[in-house]
Amino acid sequence: MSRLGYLLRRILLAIPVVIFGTSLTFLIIRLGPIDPAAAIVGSPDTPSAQAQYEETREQLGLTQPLWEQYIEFMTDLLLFNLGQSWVLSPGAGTYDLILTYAPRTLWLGFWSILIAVCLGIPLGFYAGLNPNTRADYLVSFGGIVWRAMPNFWLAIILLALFAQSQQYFFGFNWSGFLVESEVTGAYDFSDITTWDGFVREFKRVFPAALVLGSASMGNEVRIGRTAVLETINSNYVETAKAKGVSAKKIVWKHVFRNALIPLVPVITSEAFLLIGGAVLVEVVFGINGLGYLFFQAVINGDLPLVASLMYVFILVLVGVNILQDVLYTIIDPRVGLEEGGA
Amino acid sequence: MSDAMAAPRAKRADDDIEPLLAVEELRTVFYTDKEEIHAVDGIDFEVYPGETLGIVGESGSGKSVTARSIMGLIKSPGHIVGGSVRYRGENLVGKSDAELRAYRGSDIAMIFQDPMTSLNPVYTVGNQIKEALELHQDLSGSEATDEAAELLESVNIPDARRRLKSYPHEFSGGMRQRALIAMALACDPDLLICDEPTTALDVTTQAQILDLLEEIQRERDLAMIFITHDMGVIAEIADRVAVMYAGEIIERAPVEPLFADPKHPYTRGLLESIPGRNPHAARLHTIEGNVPTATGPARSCRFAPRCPKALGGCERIRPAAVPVNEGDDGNHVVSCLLYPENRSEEWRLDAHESQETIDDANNEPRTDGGHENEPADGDKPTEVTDE
Repeated sequence: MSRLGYLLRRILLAIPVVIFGTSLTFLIIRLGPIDPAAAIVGSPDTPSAQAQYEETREQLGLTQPLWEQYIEFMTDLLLFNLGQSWVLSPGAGTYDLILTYAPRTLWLGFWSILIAVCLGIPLGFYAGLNPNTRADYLVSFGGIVWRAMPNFWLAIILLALFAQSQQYFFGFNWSGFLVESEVTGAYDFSDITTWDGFVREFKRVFPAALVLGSASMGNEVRIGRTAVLETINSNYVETAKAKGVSAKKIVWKHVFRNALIPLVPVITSEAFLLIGGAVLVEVVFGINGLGYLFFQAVINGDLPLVASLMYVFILVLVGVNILQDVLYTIIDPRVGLEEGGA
Repeated sequence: MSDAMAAPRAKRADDDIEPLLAVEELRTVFYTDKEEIHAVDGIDFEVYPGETLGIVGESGSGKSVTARSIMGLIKSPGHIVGGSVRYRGENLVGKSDAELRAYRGSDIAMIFQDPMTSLNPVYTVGNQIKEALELHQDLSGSEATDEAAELLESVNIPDARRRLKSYPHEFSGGMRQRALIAMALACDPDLLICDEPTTALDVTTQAQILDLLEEIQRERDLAMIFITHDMGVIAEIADRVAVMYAGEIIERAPVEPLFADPKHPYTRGLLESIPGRNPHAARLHTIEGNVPTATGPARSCRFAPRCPKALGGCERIRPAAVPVNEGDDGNHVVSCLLYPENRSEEWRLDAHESQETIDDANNEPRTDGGHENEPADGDKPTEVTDE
């Protein structure tokens, strides 16, 4: 089967992408305007500070020839020897820092994708199956409005709504609903396996996930609607009808699977946006996640942390790309057809 | 002369055999914001068991809409606004989608113009053939697989069992059309509607598919409606031919007399414009102008503006379907004011306008429509299935 071969080829092709991405990261942070030694000791305007500055440069390995630094940088990253933070929390391993911050972002990203998929695709499909009805207009218009609202604005509005829910939702108390929870702050996963802990953390992630997933949900509604309309007017659906297949089976068997094909890149490309968009939402909702950590590392010139996070982001992007190819090969048998062409 | 030449099947119209499918006064209209389009405007024809009716016409003449109207596959904004489609005496017009589903596939099957897009790309060919078998034959599992493999073999696809696991994109155009034919045959239909099944294929594949269809028809005693714009294909496969123009059938005849002695000026024009039929002509004959879009019910002859033989009356009288000569057997029917040939022009104009005296002298099943402004038109003595 060429589908497996196609997948292996995609994984092999991902390796040069990772190497190129990390090399570019090295160039940007080493040749860029950030001076990590100055960030640690302050500006070298006195002779003693100057000496300390030189010493720090020596210690950080910044005096070695650039190509040696490059080799060291690359081998360390590829071997997951991520080094230590220089500025933000000196001495702490970046690996540990990432492990502390990542679960919060993963939790947020997971729900923002899932909520968007679970709401956006059914709504889009519903609109596509009932085109030019009142429900279709409502869904399509709502999708565009939802899509058009900027994240930072929507985040603040939702924060205000959920924090003072009694005032806006006729006395409905979101914070006290089912389990007591706060609307903002970093997540606490210590008791996530219990029902109360799960509900509490879900309640806390819900407004932020809704904001972060808003753009992708709007896209999914619109593209889902178009894809269903296109599929339903296709010749093979007419053939199936002429065969006597029931309307229900036509929708579930013949329309949905084909309509999902154009949605795959929409869903996965939203996963890329989440990395960038998460910073804004994390700041507004006070979630100390990876986006927040990356932002702090960059403005403080914490180069090992920046490089490590960049490396993680690159791996995530490449991984999502491969996931997208896996989804494609599952849904669409035509993928992987072109033999020989790389 | 035409009697001697006509194929035996072509004469079934005279016999007492009930038609398998009888279409009467069928009208299908598409309602858009700007206008209504009368795509099928009062057509009549019958299909008898085991015969092939060819429907021929230019693009936009309403051939495909006719086929879809029979199957009940007209999509909004199109609606069947009148007439009947009787399958074994049962009127299909007005039946619900669920009721029609019982006929689709099992009684009337259809194959479409574009084999490249008519199979679902994400399911195997076997899956799609078996879907039909499960629906109408109640087969499943390995039984269905065996039956599907047999069907693929019967349409001359080699290595059928392995081919069942192939996806449509692994098939060539000709093979896909074969697979679609196999799928249409899966439920053992009595009538197969072929909507330009060879148009998208190259010429050698076309010939193979036509041979295959003829072979299948012989083996299974299948009735076919074969829709095409290709006169050459019609000559090869049809027993009787209906020529469509702008939503109306303007001439109906067994295939030999139609090709040997076409009566309607439009049919003549069509035949003259086939390359090679007229080797002495310096230039290929063409019919000037385009098929008009019918935006209202016909009140005149729609071909009149392009007709070389148009009379004064053509612009105000809608021609009825009449035999070529009064007293003929009704096998060769033409909707043109020039006919019946053995009557005077004045008589003909009167007769077409009133549409009364023409059909009492013969057994022509019924006159064509055009009676929307004549409520008294109830005189159809030979009507079999009138309600």
